[in-house]
Amino acid sequence: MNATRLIVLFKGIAFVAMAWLSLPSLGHAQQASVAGRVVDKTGGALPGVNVFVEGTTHGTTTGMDGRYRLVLKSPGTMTIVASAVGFKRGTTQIVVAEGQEATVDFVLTEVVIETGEVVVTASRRAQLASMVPASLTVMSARELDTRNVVELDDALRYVSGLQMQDNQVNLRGSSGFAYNTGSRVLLLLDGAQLLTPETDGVPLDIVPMTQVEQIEVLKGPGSALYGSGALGGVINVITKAFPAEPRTGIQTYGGFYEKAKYDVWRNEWQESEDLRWFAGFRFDHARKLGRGGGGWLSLSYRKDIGYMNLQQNRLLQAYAKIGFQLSRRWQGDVLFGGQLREKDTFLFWNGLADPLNPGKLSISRSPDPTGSNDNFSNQFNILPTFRYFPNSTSLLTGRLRFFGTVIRPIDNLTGKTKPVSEGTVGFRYGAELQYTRTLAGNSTLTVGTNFDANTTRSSFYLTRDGDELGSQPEIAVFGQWEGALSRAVSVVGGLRFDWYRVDATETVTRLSPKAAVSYVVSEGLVARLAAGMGFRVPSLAERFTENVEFIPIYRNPRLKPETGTSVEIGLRGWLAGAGPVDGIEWDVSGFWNDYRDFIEPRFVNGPNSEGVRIVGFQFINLDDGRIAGVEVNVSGVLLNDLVRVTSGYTFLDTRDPSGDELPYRPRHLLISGATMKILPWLDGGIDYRYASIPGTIDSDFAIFVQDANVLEETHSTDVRLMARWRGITTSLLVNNVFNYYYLERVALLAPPRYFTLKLQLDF
Amino acid sequence: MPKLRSCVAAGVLPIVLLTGCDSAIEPPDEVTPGAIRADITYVGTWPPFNQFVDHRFVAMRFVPQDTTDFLQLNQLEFSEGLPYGVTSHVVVLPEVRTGTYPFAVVARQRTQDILSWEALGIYMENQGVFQVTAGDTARVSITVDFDNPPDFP
Repeated sequence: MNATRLIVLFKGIAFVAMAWLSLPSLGHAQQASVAGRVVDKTGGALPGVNVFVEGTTHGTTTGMDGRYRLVLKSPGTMTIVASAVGFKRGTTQIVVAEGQEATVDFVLTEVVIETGEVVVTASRRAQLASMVPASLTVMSARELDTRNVVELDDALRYVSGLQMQDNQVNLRGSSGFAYNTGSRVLLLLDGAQLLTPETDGVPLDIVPMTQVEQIEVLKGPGSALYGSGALGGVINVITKAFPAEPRTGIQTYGGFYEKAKYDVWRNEWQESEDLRWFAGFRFDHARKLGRGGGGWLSLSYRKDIGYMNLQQNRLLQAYAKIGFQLSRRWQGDVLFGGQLREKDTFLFWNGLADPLNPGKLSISRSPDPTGSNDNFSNQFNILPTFRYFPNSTSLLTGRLRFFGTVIRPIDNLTGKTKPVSEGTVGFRYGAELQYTRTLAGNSTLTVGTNFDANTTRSSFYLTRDGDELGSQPEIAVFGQWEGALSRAVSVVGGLRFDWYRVDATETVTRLSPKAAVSYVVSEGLVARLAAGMGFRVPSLAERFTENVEFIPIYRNPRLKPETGTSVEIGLRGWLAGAGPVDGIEWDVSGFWNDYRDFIEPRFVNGPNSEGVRIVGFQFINLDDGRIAGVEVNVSGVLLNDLVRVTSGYTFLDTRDPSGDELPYRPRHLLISGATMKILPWLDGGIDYRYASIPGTIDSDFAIFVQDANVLEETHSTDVRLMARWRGITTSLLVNNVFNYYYLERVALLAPPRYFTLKLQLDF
Repeated sequence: MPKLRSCVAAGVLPIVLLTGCDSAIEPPDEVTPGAIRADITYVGTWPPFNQFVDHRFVAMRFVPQDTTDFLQLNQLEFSEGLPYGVTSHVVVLPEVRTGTYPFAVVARQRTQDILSWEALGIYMENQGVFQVTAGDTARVSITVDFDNPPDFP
């Protein structure tokens, strides 16, 4: 090291030391300052908003509660600016004297209505959706309400790039079709992980939909923050805050499916001539409780006799959330609930000539139709959350979670519930501690640790000596730093370390890094680049399920975890109104995901990994899988908020090791929707979904299931009318209005046209 | 309001066109089934009962190459379980798909292993090929000789 470098180094150290030593004196100086809070027009706090003195680079950003405090370099007259992407800039001129603190609050208005959502999924903390360096779709309570969303999958069908294949979530092609086993999309309820213990699937029916404030869908790997299960993305369901005034809602709805239009189909199942109906009832109440506390209760019942034979579904749900505030620094809440469900699961049809009846496989030698599976299930969960605010810049969050499920099959001949020993009992429990701190220089640090364990017993799992079944405990530590290099450039870096015990003799460790950068090109344009790695540990169901009663499937306890590397580049923009257009928001992204040891079900005719000859399906590790694509989303507000339109197109290019397309992934997905204010008290809306025919399917499935190689494009158009008069809302919905017969998934006919009439009273 | 109507028209029209352009799922053109009647004659000494886990008449729409082809359930028609210990039996499959059936067999499953199927007797007339036409009953005769089991496939 030469003398010049030494001098530079010395000067640097001296500067840092002087700056450090001068901090106490700065704190005591009688300097002018300005402080306040930035909120949106609903009063919601806006975190991460830039607040600065106009004409200078001197500024700060708002904290999680929307508050800021800026120490001024000199007193005098100046203009304070609050600026956030997606919002119209707020300015206020002030005069501040030496030693005075001025208060300036801002109410920012979105450039395009509803583009300024505050989201929590991308970084485990509240931030503006416009600044998230990832693809994120947000569905508001209003959108859910207008579409009569009863279960989570009803809502997810309107998310671009997401395809529901019966009960399986397929986000940007990350999942194929495996009956919701081993989901690559993680479900969070108020931030708490909720994958089913027995299959690591997304429990679509466990969310109290009437109390949902918004649904955030993070597209792309989320393992660096959330670990296994988030390889393809994260769905975070946020429940409503407690209202200032007591609020009660009563809702009832009913409807029916249109009769099958082909005589051949109706002749095969006489009951299709009957009215195929569904109906439901909900009661909700929410109120403040004490100082800072609150609670809500949600009860619902639904019965659906189905549009196909052996498809009946009855669901009773009870959920409650109680929030409490012990002091200014301590608060928390507990969400708990449970449900009873009797469900006929229609597994596969009896061919194209008889799609309304379940098919039958002879190898089970069962006298019952085996293309359906009737069971009675109980699910319950308790999710306590505690929050501690040591100071205005820090937040400590602790979460516990307990999720239990008991599934008992129902004998098709006697109609009686079989004992638990012939079904499944599973418990998933865990804890999490997270610390978030806003650091000097407007950066944010998030660190945490997580524990998760799963104990499951199932008659469908085949175990042999040496198998340690029913527990795959996991411990993880994670950290993420977010900072602004300048007012235009923000960076994110994160790392997560996971430790899994697969069985008594084997553990798996994984490091999942991520990095992202966003660049504000202009006030209406943000570019982003993100890269990350993720992984997924195979579920107990993928490793141990062995059963030939429905479709022959064999265990594979030697499955390895799959890993993924992902890169995404995107551009998000907002255009202020001109002419009949009030505003437009658009987002274009290109993504590339490379998977190793990709876990997929495959037909095996020969020795399995344990040397046993099998003929049937088995989950295996593929060498490699790649999913690349492009997604374009556009939404706009027109005619002075009379019309809102949204559209999203996703192109997927998938490849397996041999260069063929991955099965069950459509190349083209499109959603499009519009909501119109027809009269002051009457809204109308239309939604359209399209999915192209998958390039390939597992043709061996057709060996067992009649016409399983039949494919069809998805065209689904839903229309709705909603009238409001005082506290009464009446809705009429017609789904699949053109009665277009398409496939929900392979060998399963999607619902025909069906009508729903909904009445809701709010008081 | 004219602008609103234009917007509605612009939004709905493409959807109608897109939905209307494609053919949806519909029943196959030919759904009138035919029938198969199999006259089965048993010769020789029946093996022990516990070696008959399952026992059926199977008509296949292709010529099998090995035992695993018995699992191609959508390419074959099969009876319910056949009686044990009889000298003859008539099987009628009342509703089967029409078309060519190049292989028909009486087969048994020896053990619980689903690959333990074996042929007991094979339809040999017309080189084993027969046709099922809509509304008609195709007749086949199969002799099971326990002392001289056929080669399979």
